[in-house]
Amino acid sequence: MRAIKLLLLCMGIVCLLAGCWDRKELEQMSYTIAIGLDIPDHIDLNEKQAVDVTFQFANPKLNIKGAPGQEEDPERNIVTLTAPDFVTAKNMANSFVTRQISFSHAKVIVVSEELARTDHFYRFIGSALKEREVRRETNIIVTNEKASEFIKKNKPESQIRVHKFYQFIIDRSIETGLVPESTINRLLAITDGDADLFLAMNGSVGKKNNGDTFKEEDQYLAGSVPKKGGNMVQLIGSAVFKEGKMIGKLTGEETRGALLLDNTSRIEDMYVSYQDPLNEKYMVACRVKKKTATKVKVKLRKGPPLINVTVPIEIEVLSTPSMENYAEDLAKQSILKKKIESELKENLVALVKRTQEEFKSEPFYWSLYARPLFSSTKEYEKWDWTNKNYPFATVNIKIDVEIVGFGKQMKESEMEKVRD
Amino acid sequence: MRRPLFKKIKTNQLEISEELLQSDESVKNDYISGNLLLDIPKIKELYSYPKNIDFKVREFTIHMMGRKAVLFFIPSMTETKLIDEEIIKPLILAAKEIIDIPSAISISSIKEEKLISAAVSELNTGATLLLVDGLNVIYVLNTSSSAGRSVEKPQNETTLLGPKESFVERADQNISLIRKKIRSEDFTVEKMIIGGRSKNEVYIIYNKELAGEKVLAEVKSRIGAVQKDAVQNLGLLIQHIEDRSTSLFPTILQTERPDRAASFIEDGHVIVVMNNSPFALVTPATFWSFYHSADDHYLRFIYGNFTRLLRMTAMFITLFTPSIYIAITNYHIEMLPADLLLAIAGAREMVPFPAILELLMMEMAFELIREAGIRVPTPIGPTIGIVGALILGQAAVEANVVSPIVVIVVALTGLSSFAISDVNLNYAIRIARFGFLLSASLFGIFGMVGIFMIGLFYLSVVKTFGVPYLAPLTPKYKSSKDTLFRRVLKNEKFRPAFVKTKDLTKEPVQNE
Repeated sequence: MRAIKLLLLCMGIVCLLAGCWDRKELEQMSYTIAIGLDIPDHIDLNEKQAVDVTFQFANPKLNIKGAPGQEEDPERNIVTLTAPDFVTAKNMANSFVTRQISFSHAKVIVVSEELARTDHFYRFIGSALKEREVRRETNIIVTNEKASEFIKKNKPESQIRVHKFYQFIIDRSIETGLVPESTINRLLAITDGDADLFLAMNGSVGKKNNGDTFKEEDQYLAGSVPKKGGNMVQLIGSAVFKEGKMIGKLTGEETRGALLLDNTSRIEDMYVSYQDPLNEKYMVACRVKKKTATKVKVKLRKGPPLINVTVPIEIEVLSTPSMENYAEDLAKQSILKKKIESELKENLVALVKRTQEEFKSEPFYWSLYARPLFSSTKEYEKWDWTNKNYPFATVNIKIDVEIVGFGKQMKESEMEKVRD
Repeated sequence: MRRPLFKKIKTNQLEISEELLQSDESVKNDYISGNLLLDIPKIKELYSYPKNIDFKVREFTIHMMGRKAVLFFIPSMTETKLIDEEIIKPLILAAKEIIDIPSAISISSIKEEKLISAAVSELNTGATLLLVDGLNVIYVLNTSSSAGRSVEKPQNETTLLGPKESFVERADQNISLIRKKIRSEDFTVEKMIIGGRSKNEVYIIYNKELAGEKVLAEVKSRIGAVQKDAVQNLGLLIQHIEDRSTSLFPTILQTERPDRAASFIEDGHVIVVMNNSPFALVTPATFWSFYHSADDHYLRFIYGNFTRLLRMTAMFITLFTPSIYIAITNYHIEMLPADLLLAIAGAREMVPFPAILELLMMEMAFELIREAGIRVPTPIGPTIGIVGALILGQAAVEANVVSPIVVIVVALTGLSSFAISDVNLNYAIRIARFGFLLSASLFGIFGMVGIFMIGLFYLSVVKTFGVPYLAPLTPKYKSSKDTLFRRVLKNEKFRPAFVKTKDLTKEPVQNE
């Protein structure tokens, strides 16, 4: 009996001493959905550490039946303040935000291109991970203008809450391959690996109506997609980071190419149009899918290495405005296949060339295939993939196209008969 | 220090021997003398006749023997018609000379006793005693019949396809309900008497070719060791003979289904039946026997396992849902999808209490409704349900006392708890969930894991009549693997080895 009493006492003491008594109920916190980082206006970053931090909070009140708050005042949920870094900004913001600020559900970190092009960017992001709440799967968006402006101007379609907007648009854009997946984790992995380039989503606040230039569907940079109405914010293309610093941009088309060559990415739903080989006035719309992983073989030789790449691709023809009957004609199919292969290859070769000449490294994570060729890290580091070898390597790209379908209705209507 | 210890043992021994020894005089007094003038007053005195009206004495003369005779019986427990027609009538109206009594009476069961005390205990169960002048023997005639209900449908262990009869309050009827499922000469019923004053009968039922000897001996010795002057029914007996009376988990199964009891007997378990208890005890009972229900085997293989899966899920939902809710909303917010997080936060905005208090309040309310539902008189039972569940929950949410999510959690938990059919296990799980709830509120999921581990350790230590509680899963025994899920009937070839049955395989012995 005494032993039991002692045990109970011990358990009671354990609970009293070890229990977490300073926990917060979940409504006692404010959840940051987007964090924006900018260079402060009047401070020289080289002399003093400072950053403009923008927080966009989720508004849980939207959920209560009958409670106001739909179109209350969006400015209330977005605050910007200048602080030494964005972790301490959490506390600073509490001078006017009522609740403890939590990063646990932050979907994106928005960084202005201005800041991304400085050395300070990586210092801010890299050290932020010490904060427990920041998730490694938070995506990084690089914006052409100030991050605070991007966050403020972002007015999602009615009824969609902000976190939903980021979640959906990021998921969807990654599926279509117009932007790459750019989590903090990937940034850190690539930067610490010190071999490849990191691609971040590129976003921009476009003009409301944008209709002057017209190109193929994916050849745009962020902010120049021709459109009328809708949200002013758009995500397309990517920002290229080398060693934690932004050095350039890729268009949507180039980003898709990079994702095709990269085996660590996922593209699911890429719609592309190619010129119709039988009627050059028209385009053939296709759904492009990577069939299996891209085969990358790095071969060491004297001097720069040889890289053989095979991209296996499945294509489903979705529309042929030229009314050419591809579905029933094998000869026409092989013409189309060749055309697509050559066009894709042309794009990819151009992209590889650009990375070799302009960036001096590659955003395809190909260093993964070079590393196993060495018996020790030291040897590999001495060999120096990024600076000495990749820019001069011979890259052979082979595209393996297979046409797997012709849409729901395979037969085209015969234009001549329709028009008689 | 040594001396007192030594002394203690000695005195103990002395005490025991004193109890065991009966004085010669009382033994002598107990024997029937054969002289009615001596014996009748003795028995009358025992029953304080004629003050006690529930005791009848009928004196008459058997002319064909030329002797006086007397009948003793308790009218409330005997079939009076039987006494009239089959005992008195043949004895009085006999046309030929009567040589021995059993040949003159047309009652099926006649026993001869020499000891008055033994005869009296039979008399207490409804037998009629016949004393004949000059014969120093008491005839014990079975005429018992007592008031009771007839066999009805089971109330707690309902099944879809199983037999629809359940035990009643009469032990002989219960035994016959089991017996008619096992028509074998190995089916054995032993009687034990417990309770110094009320002399309650306990029937131990087993298959003598299958039941493990150790278990049987253990059951008998535990029942024999009960030191109480009255043990009215099995519900009380169970608390005297179970392994750990303060344990959270039950170690003896109570079943109200004769078919279940019969199948346990066929597996080598020992069943205990008693008067006044509409159920039977199954010993030993492992955790799995509480988790199983009769329907698992009556339904087809897949359907039966589906219900097992549902029951297991229900068990986990009952145990963990409230604590997971508390752990996640308090400690692991990042596990919640943003939408759910905002929904909970928004709903909790107006609620004045911390989440744990809110949940404890609702859980208590639900338990109250449940307890009240059992105690209320049947006609207003459903009303209580509606008032309690609907109005209380709805109004509490409207008044911002609790958030709607908590109502969902509590309702889900409550609903799932009904899927655990065994009453004892049901209580155990419902109480255990409060432990999880408290640990979750103090330590989050870490605390829950801790309590779960402690619980598992505990379960693996508990024994039921010498059998590990989680057997045959752990420790492993040869069995048909009827634990979480059951196997195809054809493959259930073994009796569970943990009962130490004499015949492990269920295949019939080949007759030559």
